[in-house]
Amino acid sequence: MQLTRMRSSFPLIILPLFFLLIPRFPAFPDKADDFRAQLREYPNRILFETYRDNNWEIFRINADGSGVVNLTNTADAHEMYPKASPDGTKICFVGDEMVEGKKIRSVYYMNADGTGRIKVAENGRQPCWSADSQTIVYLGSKYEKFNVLDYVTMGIYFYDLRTKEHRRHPNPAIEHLYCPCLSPNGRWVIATVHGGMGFSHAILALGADNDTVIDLQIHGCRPDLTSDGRKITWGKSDTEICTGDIDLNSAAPAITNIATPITSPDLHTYHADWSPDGKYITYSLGPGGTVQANGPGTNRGIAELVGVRAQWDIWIASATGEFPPIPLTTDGSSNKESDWTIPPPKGGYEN
Amino acid sequence: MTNKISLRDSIQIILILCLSFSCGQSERTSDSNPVLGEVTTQTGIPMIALAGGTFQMGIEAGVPDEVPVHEVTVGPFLMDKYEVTQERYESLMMSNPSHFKSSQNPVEQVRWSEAADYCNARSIQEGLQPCYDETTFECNFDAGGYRLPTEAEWEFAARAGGWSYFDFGEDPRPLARFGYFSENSNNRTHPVGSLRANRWGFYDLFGNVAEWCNDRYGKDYYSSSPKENPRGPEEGNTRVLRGGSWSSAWESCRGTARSYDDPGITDACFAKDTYGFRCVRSLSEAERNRFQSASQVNRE
Repeated sequence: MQLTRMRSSFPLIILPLFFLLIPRFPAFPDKADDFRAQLREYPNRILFETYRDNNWEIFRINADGSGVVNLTNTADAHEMYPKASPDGTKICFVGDEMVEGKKIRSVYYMNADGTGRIKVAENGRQPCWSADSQTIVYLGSKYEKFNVLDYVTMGIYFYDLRTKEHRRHPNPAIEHLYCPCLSPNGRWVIATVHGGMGFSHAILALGADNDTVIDLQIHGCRPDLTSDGRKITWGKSDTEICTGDIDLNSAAPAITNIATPITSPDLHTYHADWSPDGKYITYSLGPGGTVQANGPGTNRGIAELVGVRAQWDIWIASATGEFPPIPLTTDGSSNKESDWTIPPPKGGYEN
Repeated sequence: MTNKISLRDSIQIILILCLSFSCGQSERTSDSNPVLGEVTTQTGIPMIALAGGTFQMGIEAGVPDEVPVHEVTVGPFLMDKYEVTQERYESLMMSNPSHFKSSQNPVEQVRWSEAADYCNARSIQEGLQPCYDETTFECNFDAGGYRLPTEAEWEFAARAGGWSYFDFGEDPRPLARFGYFSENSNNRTHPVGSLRANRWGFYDLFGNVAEWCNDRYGKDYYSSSPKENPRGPEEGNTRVLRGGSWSSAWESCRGTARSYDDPGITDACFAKDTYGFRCVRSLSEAERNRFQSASQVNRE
């Protein structure tokens, strides 16, 4: 009897609950759409290297992935590894060219709209900027002959845009660094070392004008700092990107509050880059492995290396984990090595 | 191709058969001695020519992946007398990823794929056909160029006719005279060839750096392994490492001990300073016969 009564009252209890729940689904915002909407309003833009029509170019997109612009458009040269100056007016990068039958990778900079290209250093690698946008920091190549490996470097160099002079870092032992960035206070170069300077593999803080070398004691590679120098991001492994706090005003910088906001179960995550205000991180998502790609300007090598073709796309994540990461490119045209740039200067870009 | 050894390489046949009989060790060994002699390749790399042979692979007293003990026959091959040094690697590959920098120390922090690349580059340098497809990394054993040893070739050379853990016997105490491992390495690699060679003349097969083999790792592979020239499972995500390293306990340095890891073709950042390699090259029958004739002449 009791059972019968319960059965008869079942729809009366469940149905109202059901109808209460169903209308709630549309009320939950689609987080990805919400993230895109937020990014549409975000003024900063993103640079990246990409391989299109048998050529490496540097592209710029808006924070939501719209507004694609090819900044280089050079059929006879390959441009990669863009880094925007903090004032947003210039971009430094590396270019691969054939000179007398030999491939050479050199450091250049140009205006933010892609005009006014100037060669900084032949056989140079992986440039970055000083906070005042007046100095380009770059690595020397260890060998004269081209080598796609990122760590085959020797020495750190500072190029002053005003005087056009190059200064070598005073520490002669510097070798096998890659992916350097200069701290905003100018005191430290943060970089990965691989099989050099007595290290197996480490992320180091090197005194910018002295012999100090500090192992930051974080496992991984490719560090990037926020524009205020208070946060660092790096690849902890092939599939994890970490963030942490760093005190670069200290005589012995250390990293605290380590988090892992980005993980990928399948594809690899590389080339993490902070947005200028530290709200977002862009990164490349793509395959691992050694790549044998055919075509001009392509290099056989580990997929994540500069100028190696593979099906990478640029993704964006909120640093707080508020939104799930979303892709900004989807064509897999070797879209990687992203770098944020601040809003266009007054009057906008020319293109 | 077969003429290259005798005509292009300035091969010095040096009889080291005496090594096989003069060790004065009590370890029970095979009667047959496959050492044909030592050669120096066109690019100056010492290798030891082995006629191949049949041996018992694995050991009953070992860990589960070392059993069942099974009979294996390997064909004739040349194997590097030493682990590939940093000097050799850098001169060919224009990079030296090693942690413990010293020109005569073994190159380490080398991924399996980089070791395969080196084999190809060395083949090309000596006018041989490369073995590895650089897209798939599959090995063409018939190509005639340099390659990584199969696990069977490695164990054949390491045990050097012995039936025990090491070619010098079961007792690990003499190991410190033959290889750098956790107890004598001072936590680093050392110049190749600075300790004793094994019975057939190979240095550092035990310790210094663990050596990549060509085979994919299969825990149960010994149960299904073919007798003739086993080349490892067709499928698998890891590759075999043999011999243990400067950081290994003696157990991992045993000639029968099997290890494995990701070949590293998926990882640019995180190579290991305990991994290195040496190269081998298959010998054709004609090459083997020439070696045998030469060693016969030298004996007479």
